[in-house]
Amino acid sequence: MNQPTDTSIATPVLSAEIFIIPLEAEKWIVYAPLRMAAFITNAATVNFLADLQQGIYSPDIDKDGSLVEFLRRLEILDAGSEDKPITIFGGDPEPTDVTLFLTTACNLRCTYCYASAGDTPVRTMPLNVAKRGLDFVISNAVRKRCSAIEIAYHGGGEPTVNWKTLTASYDYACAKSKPKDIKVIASTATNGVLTDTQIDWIVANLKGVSLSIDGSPHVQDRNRPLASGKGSSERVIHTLKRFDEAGFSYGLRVTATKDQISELEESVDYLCANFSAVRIQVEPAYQMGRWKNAPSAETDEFITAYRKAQNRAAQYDKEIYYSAARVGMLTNHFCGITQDSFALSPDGNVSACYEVFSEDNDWAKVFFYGKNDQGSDGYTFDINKLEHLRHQAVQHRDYCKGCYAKWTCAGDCYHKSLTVNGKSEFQGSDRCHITREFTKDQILAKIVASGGIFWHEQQPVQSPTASGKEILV
Amino acid sequence: MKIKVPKFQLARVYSDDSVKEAELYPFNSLPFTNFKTNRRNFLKSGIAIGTVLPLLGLAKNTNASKSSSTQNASTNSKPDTNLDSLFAHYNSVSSVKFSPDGKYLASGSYTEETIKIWSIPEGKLIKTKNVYWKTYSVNTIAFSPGGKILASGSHDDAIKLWSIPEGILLKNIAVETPVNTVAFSPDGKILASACKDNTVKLWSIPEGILIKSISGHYNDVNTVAFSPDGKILVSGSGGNGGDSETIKLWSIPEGKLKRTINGHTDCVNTVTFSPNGKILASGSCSDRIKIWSMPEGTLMKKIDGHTDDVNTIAFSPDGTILASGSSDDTIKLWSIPEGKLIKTINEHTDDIYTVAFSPDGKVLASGSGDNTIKLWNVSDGRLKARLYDLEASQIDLSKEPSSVKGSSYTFKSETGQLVTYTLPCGAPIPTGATCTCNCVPGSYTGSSGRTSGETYCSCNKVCSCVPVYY
Repeated sequence: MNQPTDTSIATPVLSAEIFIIPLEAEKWIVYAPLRMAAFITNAATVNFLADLQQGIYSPDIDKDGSLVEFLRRLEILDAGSEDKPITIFGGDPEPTDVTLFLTTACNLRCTYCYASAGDTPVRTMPLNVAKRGLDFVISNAVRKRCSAIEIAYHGGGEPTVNWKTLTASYDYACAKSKPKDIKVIASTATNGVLTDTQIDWIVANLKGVSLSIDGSPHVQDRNRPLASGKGSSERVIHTLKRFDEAGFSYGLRVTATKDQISELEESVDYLCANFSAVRIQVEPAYQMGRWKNAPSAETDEFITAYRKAQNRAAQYDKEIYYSAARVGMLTNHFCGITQDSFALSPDGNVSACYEVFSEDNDWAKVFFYGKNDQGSDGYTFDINKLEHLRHQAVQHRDYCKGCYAKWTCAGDCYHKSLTVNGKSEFQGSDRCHITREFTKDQILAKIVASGGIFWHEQQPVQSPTASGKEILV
Repeated sequence: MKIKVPKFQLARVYSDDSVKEAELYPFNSLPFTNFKTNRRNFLKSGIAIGTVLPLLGLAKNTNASKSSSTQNASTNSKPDTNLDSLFAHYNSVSSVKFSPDGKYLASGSYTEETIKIWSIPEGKLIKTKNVYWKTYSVNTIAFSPGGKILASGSHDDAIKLWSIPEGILLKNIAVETPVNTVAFSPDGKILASACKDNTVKLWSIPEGILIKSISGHYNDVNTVAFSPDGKILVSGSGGNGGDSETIKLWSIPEGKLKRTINGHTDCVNTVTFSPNGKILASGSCSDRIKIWSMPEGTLMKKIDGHTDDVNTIAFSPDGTILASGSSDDTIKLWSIPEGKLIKTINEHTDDIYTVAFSPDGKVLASGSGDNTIKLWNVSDGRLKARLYDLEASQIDLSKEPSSVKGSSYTFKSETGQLVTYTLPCGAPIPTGATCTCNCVPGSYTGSSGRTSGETYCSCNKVCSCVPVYY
């Protein structure tokens, strides 16, 4: 390697964390996630950058200086240090958002239910448990001068089955917040089996819903039957039509089991053609709960089917997405578990994870970190558990250090990684492969959208999330 | 489970050192549609999409200008070789239609899954919609009277409704049989489809609900058209045997048979009403066009002149000219009601499948089996423009430097923002970007020995390009 001999030429300094993604023979994507920049190039460029990283400048491949100038424009050279998108939570949590696990009861018997809803004893949240949680987040909002609180209805069952607590808790939150000039923003997850009365109330009061549906009626009826065994498609389609008529905002979520992968494209087409949702989440089924011993859907076949489905959705100017592939969003948190997520079980205990909704879950000891404080209106928190959860942010994961998706995937779902890897250090999962493939797709799509040669955007200014005490690093 | 630890950090990669100069590679199609691409394809799609008017201006001695002096059917010269490889679609153009306001031209293609929307008069391709996920023919397209909806019918047993000009799919209507022709009623509330299962089907718009399936033909229904008052629907049938020569008139909305016209001796490919509704024209596989009085259905005139199937006919908006397109590769213009030949246009090199008048009657668009769409001045039959999409073309930009110059353009961002980037010398420029220094087509030779006439930054130092923000 030639060392520069002309001392008048300043050696460029690498100023970005660079990842090299093989594309095809003799072609690589140079990806600088924190600079939101990427381009496709040859080995000469890659090795030029790799040498620069070692402090070796090889100007002979860039005699006119245009390569260096190009890289400077992309902030890959001589742009100073990068701002890492790391936020760390500390101290006692002060959430202004609450998730209420309203019930473990469900009116469906989905074949792959991660919660095995319907097979487990029914637990239902009484109103006083919800009120206590709402009082807590409202008081935090007042103290932190937040203009809104958020309520998410979720759980290991269908939240709307506990309709009484759902509506009463919302009314309670509104009544308590209004004098304090605090808005209440509420949403729910639902399977879509709703009465017209429930639909009317949801449209009138909630900001949005996340509705699970698996596609065309025969797929829905096969995978997501009613508790009676009959198909649920008719009920769910009715709900969606009502939502569309009302112009109500909702998102769709499709779960692909291994045997359904071949029908994914058709299912997405059906949803795009018949309903107004513009973004549809598509995930492979989790091998948990009722699907624990089922064949994995986290396969290359899923990747292929997803890409076809993505193409179909694009024909309708709609898009599908997968939770861990999100180029353009820079973060060290995959979800709320590292951000003091505050979710209440029916008994009023505090979990950080939507999937760990019950104290008898296999990983309850990891994710449940708080309980009612008998001596006050608030909660007591196990700070050691909380710190352990906070420590799951991606900057602490050795496995992720060399992964180009790390600042967007942010380590993926901790609960799923525990399910796969047990208590040992995270060692990756089949989902990682899926995440990287879709992340690569998104990088290439960014290049295409930017004119086909390179992608570069200004990094957005970080805004603190509403939950907890946050330290920007 | 132990999964390989990802190692994508920056590190030297193996190279055979055959290319010592840094190169950037363009990527212009999404990985989930077509993962691999190359520089040529990128440039084709990125640099020049539009009409070939600039080329026409340069090619004074071409057949384009020769044809302008053509007054009769005898001219048989071939198009200029520079233009031969400019195509609008990858395959035969099955259907072209002007929007009612004349601002757009929509086109569909046989054995190709795309519909394209072009701005008029610029002739710029503004939208390509993938219609199907498998390759099926787009047999027919039609604009709604308000121009907000484009309907397409295809061989995949479906009708699709698209918003115009966005090209967003509004409705997918399952027809359960291939659709040969679609036509909107004048009030836009009904869409009629001519179907391969011998039926005419009526659909409510915008709901896409089947109102009525009309039986009565005994063979494929090839064509349908509404009368200007919307009270009559005419259909033409024919194919392999059966009642291959009938035209039937149906009352709307009842769908009752009013009259059967047995006048053709072979399949009826195309029917259309004159703007005042008093004349019905039909074209058939027997090379012949016939003119019928309405509502009597009596034969007014037989028009002979084509030497192969008449695939398409269209009345000018004032009803004085009938244009016809044939498998004899010609377009003919006929005076109405006399039926005299005004002009023959002989510049396509394959079957003419579709013709359409612009709403002002000044331009005739034609689509052909030669994969081209051409616009003609109606007044003199001269070639006005040729719509093309380099993605679908075979053009070699290195041999067409003038086309690159003629097609270069600059966009302004919506916000007026301009951000200057710098590309390495020799890099292809981004789609729509304009190089602000000295990009010269056809002048760059890279160190790899690549001699190229494409638009590259050929600068000595650095080249600043202004990216486009849509």
